[in-house]
Amino acid sequence: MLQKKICMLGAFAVGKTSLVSRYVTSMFSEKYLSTVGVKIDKKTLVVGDETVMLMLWDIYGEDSMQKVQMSYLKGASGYLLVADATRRETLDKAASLHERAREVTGDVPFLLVVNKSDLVAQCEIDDAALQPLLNQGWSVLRGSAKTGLGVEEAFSSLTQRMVGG
Amino acid sequence: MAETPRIVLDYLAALVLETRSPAYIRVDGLGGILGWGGDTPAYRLPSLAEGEPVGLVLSAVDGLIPHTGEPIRLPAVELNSGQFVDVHVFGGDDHTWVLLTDATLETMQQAMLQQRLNEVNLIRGWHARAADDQITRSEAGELISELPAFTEEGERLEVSVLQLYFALPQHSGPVLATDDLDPLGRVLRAATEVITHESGYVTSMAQDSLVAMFGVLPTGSSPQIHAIRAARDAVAAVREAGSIGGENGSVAAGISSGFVSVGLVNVAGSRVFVAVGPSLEAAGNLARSADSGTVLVDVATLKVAGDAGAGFKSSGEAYALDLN
Repeated sequence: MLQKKICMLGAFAVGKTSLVSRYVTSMFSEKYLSTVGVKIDKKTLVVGDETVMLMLWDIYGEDSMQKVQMSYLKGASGYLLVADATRRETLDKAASLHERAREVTGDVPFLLVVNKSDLVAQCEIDDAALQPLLNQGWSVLRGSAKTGLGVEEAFSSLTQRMVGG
Repeated sequence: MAETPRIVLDYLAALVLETRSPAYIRVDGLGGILGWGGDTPAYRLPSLAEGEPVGLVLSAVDGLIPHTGEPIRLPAVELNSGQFVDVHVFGGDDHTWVLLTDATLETMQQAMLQQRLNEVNLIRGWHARAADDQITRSEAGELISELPAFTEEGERLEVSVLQLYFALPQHSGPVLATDDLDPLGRVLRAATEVITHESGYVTSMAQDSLVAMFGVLPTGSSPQIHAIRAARDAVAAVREAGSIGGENGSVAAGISSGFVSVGLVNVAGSRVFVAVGPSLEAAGNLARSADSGTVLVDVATLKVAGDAGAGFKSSGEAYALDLN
């Protein structure tokens, strides 16, 4: 069985833990509990003929007071960048984390999830804001850990690219 | 740096052994366990066995072995047991060493601080957006009362409630180039900034008033002190921000302290912060009866205000501070 490490990267309170929780346990909680350090969850999925064990590294969110230690990304086969659709600044944070992650992981697959996309009325990340990233070749998905929108797709799409499927 | 005396190094080693429960696992180039030692039982890891892949015991080191470069440190890795451990990976003796040191206590302490810090940062962001939103809504005569809140369960808290009443100047002359064309939004932003700086939580905004609570978010001093400081600064900030064509409007503040019940209710699918208690109405009454440029506070606020209460004078059953 293949084993692949995926890191969750993003600003604080964008929903990284909620995305992992939705994907691994199909559960969601409205309660916000900030992550400290890193928690590793596992999930097995089948991609083509391959069974893949995903090691999901849910890393604390970055804020103005603490930067994410990039040592967590050693050995990662890919990473999910997460932004909060209701907070425009989290898109910029995702972009800066991507730059720093690249220095450790090299050219591994990644994908941007614009989480909380169910909050349409409060959306601050419109298509125009995403267009420059799409132009750079980024893969972008709108998703919601709350409703489940795009969650399976995000992880399976990234995994397919990691295993070359 | 001067050489550290042996006695200090010995002390540090003993301290680490006592407080950090160091444990090590020695692995071969393929990640197979060769041996282990130290306080491994402290981490309630799955059974250690020679030849087993170390990744089965500690998934955090999967993909990191063999390791020959600079040591790697993975801080605060959460174990299945709920403990937090710093994981150190380094090479030597043709083997890779995995060292674990307990970080549970400091991580839990950091978690509490981080939670509060993130909540405050989120609320600051919401305040800023609410103030911006008010610009749009004020044109339609709508009020803002639904701000996201950080607490899920109802609580009874001792708070100070600050209410500001303001009126923008009725300016009929030419608008100066320096004037913002939307003074209401400017006023709300200025007041919100001051209140947030004093760890206050803005609970509602309208076209002529703003209500904030102190004691809902963690504060360095008593809520009463923060509320009075915020009121002083807010009166000045609102006056300046609300100026049109060189003319000032009016602004007055009322503060009442006491217990309120706070919590969240669902309204049309959104969580709405709700607070109930006599201090809310009392603060509004004080603000309404205060003259422009005046802060009016109740006895419950002033008696624990310390130095922040300097300058207040008795005014009926309340105390007034004239900032004119």
